[in-house]
Amino acid sequence: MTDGDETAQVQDDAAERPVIIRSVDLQKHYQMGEVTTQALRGIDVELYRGEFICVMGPSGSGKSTFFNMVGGLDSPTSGRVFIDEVDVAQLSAVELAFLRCRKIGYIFQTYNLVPYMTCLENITVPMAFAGVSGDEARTRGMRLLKLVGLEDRWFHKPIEMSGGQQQRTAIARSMANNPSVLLCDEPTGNLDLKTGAEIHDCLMQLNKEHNVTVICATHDHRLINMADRIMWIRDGQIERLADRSDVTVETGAIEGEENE
Amino acid sequence: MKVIDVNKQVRLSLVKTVELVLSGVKFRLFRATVTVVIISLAVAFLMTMLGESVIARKVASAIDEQTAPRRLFVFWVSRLTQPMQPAELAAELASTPPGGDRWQELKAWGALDDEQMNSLAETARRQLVLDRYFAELKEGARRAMLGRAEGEEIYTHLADPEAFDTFKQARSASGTELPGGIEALQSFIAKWPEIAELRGRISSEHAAATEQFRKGVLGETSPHLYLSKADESLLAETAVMGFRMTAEDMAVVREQAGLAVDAERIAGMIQAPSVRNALRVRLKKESATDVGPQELFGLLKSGDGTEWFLGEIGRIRHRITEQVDTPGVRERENISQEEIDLLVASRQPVFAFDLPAERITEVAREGLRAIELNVIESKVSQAAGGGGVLGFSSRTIAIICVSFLVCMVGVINAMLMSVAERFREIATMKCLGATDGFIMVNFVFESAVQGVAGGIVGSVLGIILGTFLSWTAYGGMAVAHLPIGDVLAAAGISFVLGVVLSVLAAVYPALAAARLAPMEAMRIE
Repeated sequence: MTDGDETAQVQDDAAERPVIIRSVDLQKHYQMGEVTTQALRGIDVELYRGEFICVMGPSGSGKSTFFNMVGGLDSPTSGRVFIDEVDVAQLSAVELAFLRCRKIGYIFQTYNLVPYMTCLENITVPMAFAGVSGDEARTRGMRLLKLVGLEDRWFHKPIEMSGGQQQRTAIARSMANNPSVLLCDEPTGNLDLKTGAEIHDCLMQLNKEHNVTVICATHDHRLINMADRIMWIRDGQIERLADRSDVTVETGAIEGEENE
Repeated sequence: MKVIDVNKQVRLSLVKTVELVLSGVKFRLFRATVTVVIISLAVAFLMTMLGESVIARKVASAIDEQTAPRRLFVFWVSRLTQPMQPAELAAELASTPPGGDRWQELKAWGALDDEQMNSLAETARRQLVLDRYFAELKEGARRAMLGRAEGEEIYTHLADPEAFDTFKQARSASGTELPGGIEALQSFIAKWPEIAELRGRISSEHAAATEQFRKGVLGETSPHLYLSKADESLLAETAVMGFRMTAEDMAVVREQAGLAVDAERIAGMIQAPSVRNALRVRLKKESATDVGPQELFGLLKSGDGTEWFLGEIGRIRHRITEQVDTPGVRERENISQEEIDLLVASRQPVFAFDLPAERITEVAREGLRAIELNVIESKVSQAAGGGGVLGFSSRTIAIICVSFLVCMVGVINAMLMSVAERFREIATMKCLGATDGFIMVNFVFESAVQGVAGGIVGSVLGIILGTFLSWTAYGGMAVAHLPIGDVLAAAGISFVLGVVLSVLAAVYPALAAARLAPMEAMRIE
């Protein structure tokens, strides 16, 4: 990093909180036979520690590619991504695995729980990868389950749980190693409105009480409502990045539902 | 820029890995079962073949042991009474242990020294190799190379330089490989006259000895009969003529000769029409020609059968004696003219037959046993004679390899399907911090577990099948002489190969799984 960047950072710090994820002229293109698809065309963005940011964009906009970069799941073709000041492109496969294990939590639209393990076992899998001993893992796991309100279901298998409960299990799992960032891909996508609300509350709680940065790709207006900032991506570039206060969000109500 | 300290990433303990894998396997039991079945089939196939081969070998050696006395007897009979054929002599020179009894016999007959004997032995071995080469030539090639010469003629034929040149040209045209090379052949042919002369000495001396034995010792007696009554004097007599028979040899020969003689007596009874008729009725055969020694022995091997037989003979004797004395009755009863004539001319077998019941039964049983062993032996020699690796022809090995390859393809296929099914799961695991190595170990280990299971099932199945097949082929001998150590060793080998097969098959799918990008897990839109 050059002096120039540092100056910029100091200026940022003066105004804002510390940056957890930064991308500099992030570019990514895919080679599919003879066709080259330019997914990201240069994204410069800084995401602050502890904020709740929603990413929106139509399909094919590069939203998923951006997520992959930011989540350490893929490397850019050019440009840089810094996760907690670590240049992702310089990492080896093992180091990347380490990163994913300790720094970042993932929440998927389809929950992606291991079907043959119980709720508690699912949550302790990342802890096993982090080398946490069995007993401590279970204690931490139970604590996390209490956090999401599932402590009496610790022995249930995913198949015995509702969608909302599975997603809450997934959220607990994502918190297993105290990550700094939570990456959520359409967390409420497969859920109805009422169970969706449980998820909102959960994420909100994690964001506010545990100071976890939450980066959400979503179309759910209620999540957007909760966000600190909102980012729109189109054609591989940031179309707009705005504070929540600068944006008008209307959440509709289905009779009887809004009150919950 | 910060650097990640990867030391903190502790490797997953073996126990935990095992736990994770096993719970996974339980979950995917059906797919795992398919893989296990494939592996156990391959292993069972291999084990069956190995087991059969091992058992066949053991049965062959057991038969060898049991037929040894009879073979010794046959050997001595021909040794004492028949001149040796050139092929016989060559084979014996090639294979008999130096310094042993046969060696000494031949040496004495040929009046040779040790050096000459050694040379004869070696050239005999070389000759066998050459003989086989010449025998395996195709007709056209042989004509071109050797003209009409056959057998030992070939070596005298090739002594002529012109014929040898023709041979050389024709051989390189034929493209066959001459064992030992041209020079060796040439030196062999050069030595041939001398070899033939020395061998001739041996054969003619031996032939003279057999002549002496037949004229001087046997006289009019048949060899079997004479030998069945042999005592120590036989040893002395034969030693004078150059034979070296040991006392053990003689005991065995005497016993076998006795059995042979009595067997001939019993079988001879079938010649008498009345006896044959009675047998035909008793054994419920269609025609009298169906009654042979084997059928008779079959009847006589039991005490009841013998009793009946003796009773029947008694009846026939009584009938004949009675009737012959009464003129006119001959036409009334069914007694043939043959029988009357025989009775008149000499002591008829029916009357001469004087073996006690136990001996009859014993001889019958021995006779049947010998036939049985013969049958089994011919079957076994096909199986165990094979040569090659472990007694398998290269063809069998090729088949086994192909079957393993096919099963490997099946296992690879099953594993690839498993990997494809688990894209999400693998990618999620990677998101949670699994390294490529972990994923790979996961799959290979899973496959190893399946290999172990399949190996055990296959080995057990193979043992059972192999033993069963051997039992149907060779009868009770297969089970009675079961070589348990060898069978278990074969099972061990098959088991190990099964595990190796499944681990190897897992490598490619495991690599594919390990290389999977974690972003497969994130399917936005």
